[in-house]
Amino acid sequence: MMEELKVSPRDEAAENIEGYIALHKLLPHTRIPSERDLCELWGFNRTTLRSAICRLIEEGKLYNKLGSGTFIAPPKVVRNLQDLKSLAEYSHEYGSILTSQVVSLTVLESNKKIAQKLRIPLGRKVYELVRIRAFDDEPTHIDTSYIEFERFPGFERFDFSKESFYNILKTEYNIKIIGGEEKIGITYASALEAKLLSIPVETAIFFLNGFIWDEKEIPIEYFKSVVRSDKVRFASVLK
Amino acid sequence: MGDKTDEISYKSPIYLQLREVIRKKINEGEFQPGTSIPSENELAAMYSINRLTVRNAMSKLVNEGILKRVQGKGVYVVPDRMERDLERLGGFVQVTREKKRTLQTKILVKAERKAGNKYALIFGIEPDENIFYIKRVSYADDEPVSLDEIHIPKYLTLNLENIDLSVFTLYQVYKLNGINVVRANQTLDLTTLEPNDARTLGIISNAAVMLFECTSFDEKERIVEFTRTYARGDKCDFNVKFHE
Repeated sequence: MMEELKVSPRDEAAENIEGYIALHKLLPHTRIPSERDLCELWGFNRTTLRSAICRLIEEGKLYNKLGSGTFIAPPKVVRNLQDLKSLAEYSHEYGSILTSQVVSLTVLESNKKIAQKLRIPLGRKVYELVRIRAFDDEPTHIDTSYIEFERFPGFERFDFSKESFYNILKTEYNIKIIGGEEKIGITYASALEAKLLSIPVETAIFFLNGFIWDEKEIPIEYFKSVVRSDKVRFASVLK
Repeated sequence: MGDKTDEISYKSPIYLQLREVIRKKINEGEFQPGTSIPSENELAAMYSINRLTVRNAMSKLVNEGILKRVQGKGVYVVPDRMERDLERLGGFVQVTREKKRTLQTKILVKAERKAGNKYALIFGIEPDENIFYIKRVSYADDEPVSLDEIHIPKYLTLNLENIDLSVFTLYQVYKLNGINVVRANQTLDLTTLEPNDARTLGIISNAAVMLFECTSFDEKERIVEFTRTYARGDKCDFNVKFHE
């Protein structure tokens, strides 16, 4: 016979809260019942319940408003990693307003990494476009894109705070994006990244890098992104 | 499984005869998939033959992929199914930072628990029904890289008690029980671990880890597994391919 595990009070309380939210289909920014009410409802002591709430706040499911209580956190933007939807399309789905700010658009010589990713000779010129992306004025991504300079003449004349990068590639340069590959890991926000993303220095954030290719499987863009994990979640489906 | 028993007679070499005995016991269910067979010594004693002969018989079946030797544990019957790649997590393929070496898992907890309010909703069962809870650590080259907390509803009647889960993967267990996992939805967040779990993974308490939550569905659209996997960011990268 298998051992019967007794779930710790803290975990049970946290699961109860999550279950309560799901069962009553509570909406984001709804205030959850007070600690005292929840203790009475389920028979936990205050310390246990407080600890459960802390865990759920840490997991981004609840948030505290000093003096007002504890509220259900808004859902994160869920980016499906397996499609090529642009951030603009996501913002549409979530009813959020996406704004982009161009930090820099420069031409530089490709270093070893960029050259290898783009499959171009070392030193070949590339455009480097750095943008901050914000949902409802909250910065969530710093996106850096590298494309080959010669392949995209006149690239610098577009205003990427208003235009979608992928849209420009498709409509102005006739690029057909077929697919890509990316790697995800964790990094800690540098001073500059922290400033641009409005988060404390050394906060853990997602780090992505990868490339997209055209129908000939030739890389078009090499990108690097850092993304706030408190605002964005990634998803994928295995079939 | 290439039954060659018609070629084997009392005149055939003993190791071949023994091979067929073992094969027959597997086919007839006396030796269950996912479980270990008697040791070389036990078989040698049972049939009054020498150990080397037994080893030869086993080696052939190991080569055929019917048996699997597990260091320090014995010889197991392999279930009739492709082993799920231990590294696959949804659309992500885990790649360890340095060159990939040996992968091992260790089961920390294998127990039953009450579903409770949250998992009752996830699995569509009552809060006081039981679910299985398995906690395991994965090691790449003896270094812990990820921690899994696996939840499976008990009503699926998986006979998990008798299967050695450090030897076989859960997907093999599902298949054995006639359950076909056809889809899994994965999400990825960042979080921190409780001190105990952080210690198990060999990291400090406030280090960020990747949290994968994976919900697996069978062909009847039932949720058959809900797993939280905590993976070290310094030991793993995850690759994903995408397309139009």
